Amino acid sequence: MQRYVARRLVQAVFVLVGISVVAFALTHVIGDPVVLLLPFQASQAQVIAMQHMLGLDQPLPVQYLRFARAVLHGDFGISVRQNTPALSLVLDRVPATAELASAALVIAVGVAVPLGIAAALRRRTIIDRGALLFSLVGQSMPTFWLGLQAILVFGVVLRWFPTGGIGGLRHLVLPAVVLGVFSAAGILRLTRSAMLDIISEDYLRTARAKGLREVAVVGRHALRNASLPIVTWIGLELGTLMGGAVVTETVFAWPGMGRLAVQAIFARDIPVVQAAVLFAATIFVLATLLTDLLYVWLDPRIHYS
Amino acid sequence: MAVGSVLPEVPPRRSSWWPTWRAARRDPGAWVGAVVLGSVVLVAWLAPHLAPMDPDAQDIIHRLLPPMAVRTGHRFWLGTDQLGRDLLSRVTFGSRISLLVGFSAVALSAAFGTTVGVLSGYFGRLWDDLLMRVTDVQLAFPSILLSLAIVAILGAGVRNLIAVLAISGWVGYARVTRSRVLGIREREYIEAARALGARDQRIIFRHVVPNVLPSMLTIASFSLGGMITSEAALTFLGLGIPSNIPSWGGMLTDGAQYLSVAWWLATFPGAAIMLTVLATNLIGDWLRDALDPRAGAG
Amino acid sequence: MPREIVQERDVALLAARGPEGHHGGMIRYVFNTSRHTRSRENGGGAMRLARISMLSGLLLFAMVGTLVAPGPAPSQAAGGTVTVAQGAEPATLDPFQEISRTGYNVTLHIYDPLFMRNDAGKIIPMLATGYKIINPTTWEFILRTGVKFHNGEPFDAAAVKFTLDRALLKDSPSNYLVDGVKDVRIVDPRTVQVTTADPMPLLLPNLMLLGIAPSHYYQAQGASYVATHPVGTGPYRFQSWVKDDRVTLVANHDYWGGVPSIESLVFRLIPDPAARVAAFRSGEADIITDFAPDLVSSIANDPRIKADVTTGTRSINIMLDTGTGPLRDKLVRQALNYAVDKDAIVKNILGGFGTVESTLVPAAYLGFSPLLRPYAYDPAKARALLAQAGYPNGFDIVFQSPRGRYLADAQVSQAVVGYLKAVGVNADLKYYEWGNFVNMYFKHQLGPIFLIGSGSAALDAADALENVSCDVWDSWYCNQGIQAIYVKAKATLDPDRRAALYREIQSLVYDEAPIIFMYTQKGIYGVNTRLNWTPRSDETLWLAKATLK
Repeated sequence: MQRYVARRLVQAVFVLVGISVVAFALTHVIGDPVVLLLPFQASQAQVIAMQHMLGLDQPLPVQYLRFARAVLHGDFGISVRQNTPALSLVLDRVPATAELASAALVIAVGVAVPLGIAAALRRRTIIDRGALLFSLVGQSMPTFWLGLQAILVFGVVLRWFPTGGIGGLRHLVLPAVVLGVFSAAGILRLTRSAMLDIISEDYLRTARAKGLREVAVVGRHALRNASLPIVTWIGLELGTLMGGAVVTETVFAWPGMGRLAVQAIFARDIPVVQAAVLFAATIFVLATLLTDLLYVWLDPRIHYS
Repeated sequence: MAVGSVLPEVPPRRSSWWPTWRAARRDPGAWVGAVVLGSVVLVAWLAPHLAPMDPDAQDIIHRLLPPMAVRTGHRFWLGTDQLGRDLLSRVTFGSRISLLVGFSAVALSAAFGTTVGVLSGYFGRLWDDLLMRVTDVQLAFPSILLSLAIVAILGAGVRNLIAVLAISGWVGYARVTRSRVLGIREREYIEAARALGARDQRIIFRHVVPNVLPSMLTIASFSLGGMITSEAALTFLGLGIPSNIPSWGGMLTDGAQYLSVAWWLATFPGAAIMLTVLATNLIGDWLRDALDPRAGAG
Repeated sequence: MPREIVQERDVALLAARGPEGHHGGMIRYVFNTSRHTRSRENGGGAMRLARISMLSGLLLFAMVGTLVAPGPAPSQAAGGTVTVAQGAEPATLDPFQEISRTGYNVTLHIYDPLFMRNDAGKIIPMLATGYKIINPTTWEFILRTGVKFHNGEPFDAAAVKFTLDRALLKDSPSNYLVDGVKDVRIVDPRTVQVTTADPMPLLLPNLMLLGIAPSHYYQAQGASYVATHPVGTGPYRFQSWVKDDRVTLVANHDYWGGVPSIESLVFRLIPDPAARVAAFRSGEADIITDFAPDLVSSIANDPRIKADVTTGTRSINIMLDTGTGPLRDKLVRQALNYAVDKDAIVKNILGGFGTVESTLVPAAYLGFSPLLRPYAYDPAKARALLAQAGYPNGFDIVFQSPRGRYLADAQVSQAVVGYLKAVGVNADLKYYEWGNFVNMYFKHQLGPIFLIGSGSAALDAADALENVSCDVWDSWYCNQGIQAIYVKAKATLDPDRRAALYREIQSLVYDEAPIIFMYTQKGIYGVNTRLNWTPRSDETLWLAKATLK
């Protein structure tokens, strides 16, 4: 077990280093932040002066090593565009991002897991078909379309909720539901199929044959085993959502991680892109690590060496 | 592709496609999916004959006309878009790009992901460690930056969009393939083939690949819809297909801005996407049930 | 220094109509805030260009101190909150760093510049009460006394020198405003002298874009801190900034120009255009900028909100790389100008929110040429010209366009490509994400045809005409005859003589057609009727004088 955890941690570090290299290379390949920072009236001399000030005239490996050394000291550099430490820009976005991600996930899990179980237990009934239709519609509706539609109906016509921005609970409802519907679609399908897999297993038939009540069979045996893939999925989903939901954040003017990253990319703001990507990747890696460890707890059959 | 008859040593239950077909006949969902997807493919194929007008013919004087409007002797069944182009013709032609993007991206990502998964699972050790870390990096890397970089380097367009979608989609195939390969690597018939002196290449193509193909097909059919909606999301962020090429995702994105003044712009391409996604998912369900013996028994 | 293809980051302010004539050696100018303004009719509507009246001699010199223009207004109890929603937020609140229009709309309320324009477009004194041109390269500014920064630091000549010196650093984004200034000298606490290398007609309008910063505060706290904790002398103090969400300002009750009537201003970021209109319709935003023209009809039935339109100063054109292929031929370039129905594009795609221009100089600029008429839509003539140039069957070419940067830019590009196709020119339309587009622009990788917007912060044709001048490192067109006039115009202080030279250039450029001349886009704002406020033609959002009903 300890060896397993240690190995996973080493792998995680490897992944983060890999990500920092790729992110660094990509941000430098896609363009120069200086020309975006200056007005078109700027002279060539001014462009060169600014490139020099930002160290962009150094060879790429030198820039990367300098960056890596600084990061090890917790310094992600200063945002080229905002002139503020990149890491603090990223950390500023964590509360809003976590708020939206967790609310969306709670809605998604709250809707999808019970519906998925019901669909599996009542296979080929109206419940199953209805659940399937819900997940199909959820998957095929792009979030920006659903979001704008929700803003028009609930924000402009009915005025039940604000059209966007961050604030109290009322501000959270629309973006969380819109984002949640999308996540719910995937979780529902997965829950249903995981339950179907388990229900047909022999030991459940045995349990049934032994006269256990259906509720007990489902609750004690099926759900626990079916929870493995569901937990994995939710872990991945949380990891992804914490990286920011760009489209939902854009539509609802939500000050989250996704918009920060995309704005930084659009501005070629290299330190912020780095910080945002590494942060998102770290969260993702941690989320998957935690899910893997949850396995041990959920499924004592699995042994690690 | 009668794999079963060529490869008798593969357990028949997993390889034979005949029961799959038989299961499909019992599954009404599969029929609906097949008919809908077939119609969409047919529409895409016959688009030039079906579309009432040239999808690119713009008439900016008659823009944003509602459905059923009649102007200059034409009836615009689904109305016109922001450049006065016939929406019905564009939805018709849009099926071509959307299917092309969807199928190509799925095929590319499946091919690449399966290759990585097979190599990783079959050869194990260093290969496995290396390739799996690459998939970890890919999985943890925010795909939006990757998409943006590719679009920035190559420019926006159909081919580059396919590349972007394929790159962000291959990991799933790699992971599933790897675990399947790990499961069958030590099976008797593979041991037997190896004992008989078969080379790795032969074992992989004769024994391993046919075994993982059904799972890949299932994933592929589920992800086709995702590819089509991802195209829309990328277009929303300004990275997708330029709107001079009719594509459902692009039309939906443009149309979403007009929800309050011209509902039809987003509604019809949106409905087309939804129908197609529905169809591919129904087919995916059928494949999954038919190819996966455990679920089939339930 | 190249072009003035100015986008969102560029602050479009009305140009100062500079001094009107030379009177020997020493000329003195003073602001006249009540008389001597004139308005000029053009295209879309009346645009008032301010002018500084010149009076002579000692009489005026004596008046300098007394012209304390806006004067403390009656301090009525301030109250209420006004919310402005824009499509982008400031990158920083540091006046040296922030040069985007959306950012400037925020910082202008915190930092006062030396001069500003009033709603009518007239130049009014702000932190400077007057100026003198001692000789063509030496300007003297007389500063307002008794003004304090929000942190209590007094405003004086040292703050002005600090601000100009800071902007003069080569790595300062606002360097372009003062590029050409040689030296800044403190004469006494209320007098500053600025020397320029050459005569610099645009110094005055450019200074309107530079907010004065407190030197002690800035140096003690550092740029990085100031970026999020701005301190100026302006009508509003900074209160809070939730990044990517909102900047909140509160009224400065000690403002030298009178306490603003609205107690609190909130600048919200709503990036999606349709969502911005939705927030406006629901009453969450009182003012929205960059109102999508097609959505204007969605507010038609609501009496509480309206759309206000201004003349606009952003010129959208289609640049032609005259160095390669068929575009080297003047006849081909003229043919392309005849091929595009610009009126139809403005009327239908922009919903009429634009003005077709005859060249790349909009009507609002100093040096606009009213005698030229835009190229007519004449596809037959276009085909004839193409045939005459040796391309009876047209040709294939690449057309590049940004998407989502200007009003309906992608649709306009598509429409233009459609018109070009109709005369046989098959343009392959490619869209680029903005950051990519700009990088390609600076590397001279765009073209042969691309759409781009331009604007002049100074509202002076020099900025626009830079596009057709030589010797800039990304020039797409060069003509030595035009270049000679251009160089001469740029060093001419007298605005009338400068304007005459600009008009001369435009006649030549019109015929040479190195650009498909398109249109100027108008500014469209959503304004809640509970506000007494009208947007200004110079695209500056200035709420210090607005009131609530």
